[in-house]
Amino acid sequence: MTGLHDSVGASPGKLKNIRAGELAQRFAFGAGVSLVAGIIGVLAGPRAGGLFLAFPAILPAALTIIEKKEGRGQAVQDERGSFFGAVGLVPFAVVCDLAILHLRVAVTVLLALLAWAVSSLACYLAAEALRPFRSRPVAAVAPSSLRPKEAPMSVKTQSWSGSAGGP
Amino acid sequence: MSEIVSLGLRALAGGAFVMAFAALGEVLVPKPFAGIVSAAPSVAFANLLIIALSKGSPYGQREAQGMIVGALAFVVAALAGRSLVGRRGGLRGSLGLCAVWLVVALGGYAAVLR
Repeated sequence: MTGLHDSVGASPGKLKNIRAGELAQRFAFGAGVSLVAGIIGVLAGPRAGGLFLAFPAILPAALTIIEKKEGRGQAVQDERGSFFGAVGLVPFAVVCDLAILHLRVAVTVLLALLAWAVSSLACYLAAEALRPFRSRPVAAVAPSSLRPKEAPMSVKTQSWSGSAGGP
Repeated sequence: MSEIVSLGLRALAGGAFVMAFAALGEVLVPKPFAGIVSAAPSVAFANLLIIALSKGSPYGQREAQGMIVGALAFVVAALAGRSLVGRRGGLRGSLGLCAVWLVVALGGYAAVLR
């Protein structure tokens, strides 16, 4: 048992399901936020503009489309994943801050993108690996001496959702 | 490069990168894994590249410093967003998430960067 509930992968065939209107909607969000960040940078300085580089630009369009096509549950799952991506934005910005004066700009942003990918993925995998332990029922993890004597034995495997059927 | 041209390029590149990451998010499974891409640095990647090339690395560094505060605000907003999206749906929940981000980011800016 790896602790991962669903295997990670890609289905390139799903690209055919994306409508042009959905892509246009996302382009508009991205362009709009970039423009706002730029204008704020001009008016209030680069640090104020930089704030908006981490604005949740994709989420409103993405979650609306996912909810419409696959239901609210899937939208919540997507939002859950965005937390891991958001955690990775911090090392992205830190790498840019530390390296941009010393390396070529293109190298800096590529390194920062790598830092985002590695930290987001590590955070996701750690959360998925810990999930079975967080959802394990008390009776299954407590030593037998601490279990109530009248507790039914069936509690042991109840609600253990892993495919291996529990410890 | 004039300011207007720079802003136009940033908008075009930001939109294109958001679109590309969104397409990547469509093909990844399962959903929480695909969701990582919903918080990809698509706008930041395009904008930092253009801004540092057009205005110089020190300007880009100051934007990156602002982005650190914005990224921390996104972490807080994403935590709050789970219940907001669950209760209010995709559009209203994500707009609520953006409002949380705005409050935390502006508070952080006022406290740390100003």
